[in-house]
Amino acid sequence: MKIIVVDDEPIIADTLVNILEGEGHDALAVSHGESAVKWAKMVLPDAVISDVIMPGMDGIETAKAIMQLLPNCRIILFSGQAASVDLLAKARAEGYVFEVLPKPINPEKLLEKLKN
Amino acid sequence: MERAINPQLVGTWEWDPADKTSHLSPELYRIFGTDAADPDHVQKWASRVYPADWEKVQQSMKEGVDTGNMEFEYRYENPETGLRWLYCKGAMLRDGSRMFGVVIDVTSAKLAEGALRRSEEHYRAIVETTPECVKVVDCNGTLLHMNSAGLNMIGAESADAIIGKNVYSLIVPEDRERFREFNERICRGEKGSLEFDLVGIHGERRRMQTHAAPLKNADGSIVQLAVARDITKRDEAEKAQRRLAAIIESSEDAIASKDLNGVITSWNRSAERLFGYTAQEIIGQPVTLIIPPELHGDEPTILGKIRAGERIDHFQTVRVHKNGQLIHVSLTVSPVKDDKGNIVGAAKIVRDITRHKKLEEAALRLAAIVESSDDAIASKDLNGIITSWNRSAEKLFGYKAEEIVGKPIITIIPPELHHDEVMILSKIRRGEKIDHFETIRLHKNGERIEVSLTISPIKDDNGNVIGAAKIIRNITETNKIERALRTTEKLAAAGRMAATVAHEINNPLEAVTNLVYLAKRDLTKSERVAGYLELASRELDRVAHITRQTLGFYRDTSSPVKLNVTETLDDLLLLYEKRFESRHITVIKQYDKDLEITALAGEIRQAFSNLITNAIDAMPDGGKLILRVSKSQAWSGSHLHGVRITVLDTGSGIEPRHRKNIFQPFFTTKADVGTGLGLWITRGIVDKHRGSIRMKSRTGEQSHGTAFSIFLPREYAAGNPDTSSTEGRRNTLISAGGPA
Repeated sequence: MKIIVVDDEPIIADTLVNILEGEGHDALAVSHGESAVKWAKMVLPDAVISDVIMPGMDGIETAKAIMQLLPNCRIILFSGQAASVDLLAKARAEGYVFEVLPKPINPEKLLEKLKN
Repeated sequence: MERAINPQLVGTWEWDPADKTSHLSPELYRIFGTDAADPDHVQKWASRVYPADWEKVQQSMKEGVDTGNMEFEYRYENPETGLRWLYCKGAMLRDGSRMFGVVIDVTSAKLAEGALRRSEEHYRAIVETTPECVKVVDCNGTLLHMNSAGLNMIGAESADAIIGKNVYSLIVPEDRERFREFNERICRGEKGSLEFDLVGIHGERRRMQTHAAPLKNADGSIVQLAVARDITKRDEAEKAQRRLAAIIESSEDAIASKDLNGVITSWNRSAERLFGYTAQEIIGQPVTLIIPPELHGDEPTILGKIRAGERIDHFQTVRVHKNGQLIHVSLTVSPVKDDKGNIVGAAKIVRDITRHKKLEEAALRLAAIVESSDDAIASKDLNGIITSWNRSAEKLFGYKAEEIVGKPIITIIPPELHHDEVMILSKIRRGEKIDHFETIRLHKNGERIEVSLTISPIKDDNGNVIGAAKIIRNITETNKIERALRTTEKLAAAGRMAATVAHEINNPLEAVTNLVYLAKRDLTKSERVAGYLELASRELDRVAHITRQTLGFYRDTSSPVKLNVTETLDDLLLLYEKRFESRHITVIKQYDKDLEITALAGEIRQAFSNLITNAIDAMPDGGKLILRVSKSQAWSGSHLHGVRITVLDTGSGIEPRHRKNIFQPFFTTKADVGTGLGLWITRGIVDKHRGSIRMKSRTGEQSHGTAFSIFLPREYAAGNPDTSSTEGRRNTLISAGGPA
């Protein structure tokens, strides 16, 4: 499937893309929310895996924008810090419920999740 | 002295010295009661002369013949008229041929003379025996006469020592001029009286009161006749009485007297002040005027006692002021006796004790406050001897008041702190106060108590320090709370740091995890490298887990999420894997599969974690940790569906005496490692989820251990969001207790 990976730390985005490609996915790494939305419009991904806390557009805003563009696109958020909880709570208040995985993600579990 | 001569009683005689014959007139025979014809009439005469006078008669007659002149008196027993006084006078003719004479019966004159003499003697005796000084002084102050009482008063040995002397020198100088004027006035013919002081010959001073009248002297001059009385004693008595009256009048106590009918007879100024009645208006009134009607019955009792001569001491009762106000008084009533010792009334001293009563009541109120105070309050004297001890002090130190009052205060001071007491006492002696001095004291059972002392000097009415009052507050609990708060603050700081660090750790961890995954995937040729990477990957899983469980705990609380209960438990078990191993704890899971609830994941994890760590701590020497998860309904019978999680250990169990405290904050049996917050937080979390928690524990030899059961509803509905205020309410059921 076509997957966009968003993380402001390129090494995380790049390694994840590598892992996903190894399992036959067509993955693309971007380093901020704005470019994720831009690329999503073009490649029409099946899934977006995004960090939550990022400079500029954060993971939640990115996810909301992509959901509006591609209602069927699966969105998986992952975060390494507690502050993300506040952002998620805010989103839930607005009617958006997202799946959040804590960093670090066990790659095998991630791959497993994508299969379901 | 004139003599009345009765002509009938004059007899004459003639005597012839030559033949010694005599011729008597008939009157003389009558005087003698003899007869001229009787030849023995001379013998009869001689036998009738009063025997005591016979010698004088013989002598006088012989001398008369010798000298030619005779004159004498003698007594004669006349057989008809009794004892007569006879006067005999005779004279010889110049030629010596004849002697003529008369005999006169002078009895009546004699009797008159005797009466006069006796009267004079009588007056003299009166004057002599009167205890008052009788004196006669001329207008110049010369003493003409003074009786023996007077001589005695001025200390003169005899009349000779003083008669003829001037009396002015005996008068004290300050009265002398007055006395002189007085004397001259009397000598001018006035009457009068005077009080003056005289000083006797031996220096004795007397107060005299004299009454004087003019007296015509033999030479025609007027002198002072004075009767003076020594009033020194009367004067002193009067002074004493005046002094007493002044004392009574100026007494702070009301003093009054009444007669035996209860009628008021005297009333001093304080009585006027105390009762509002002036002496004028109340003297003569019944004493019941100042007695409240309901106490009128007391008065006969009081009067009865007084009549019996009894005294009533400090009888506390109530009296009425003129304005109707009641006055608390203390009465002392004594009988008043007259000169003869008869009881004629009562004197009463009335002390107003209204203020005293009020003070007493205030003191009682204060004592009650002290007694009921939650703080221990005690007092001691300047020697450090305990003088009072309230109920809270009994509770705090375990000593009863009766066993510790009178004992030294160092009884409750640990030996190493005895020097504190020296410092405290010296400060108190200087009148200084000691505020919130934190130190250690000893319970009767030897336990050390952390206390805060506030010690103030106790002063007497004159401002002298006589002891110290101390308020002792037990701050053992407060200190525990403070220490626990410091711990929580540290935890919170650590948590905040953890949140910051989490991001910094989790991101590189994510990268390394991915890299290890890729390395493993791409290096399949080497079995050994693949093995290493496999190990590295597992260890990374552990690191990830630990960071998630510890660093991630902080604030992972805001939104309820779907939570797989068994997975959550498994995650936690993984975290404590090493501890289970090192303590030889076997973990047994009895799970119903895949039970999900909506809950605050971080908090639920923390609640489970607390129960698991408690279970681990309860089994230092190994045992079994049993985890049960099952579908359940709320114990409250509300048909609320949910999950029941039981964490059971085979540890030593919780002692019954601790069981009721286990959910209290800061209660811990693990002094070294516990904060005393674990179970309190756990219960808070459970309450917040509208769940409930129960505990069962056994401490038997064979069967021991503790089980905590939590019921959590399937759906999350916010209970009490503030975990810190949920203390033992709602769904928290405690069937027994256990350590936090």
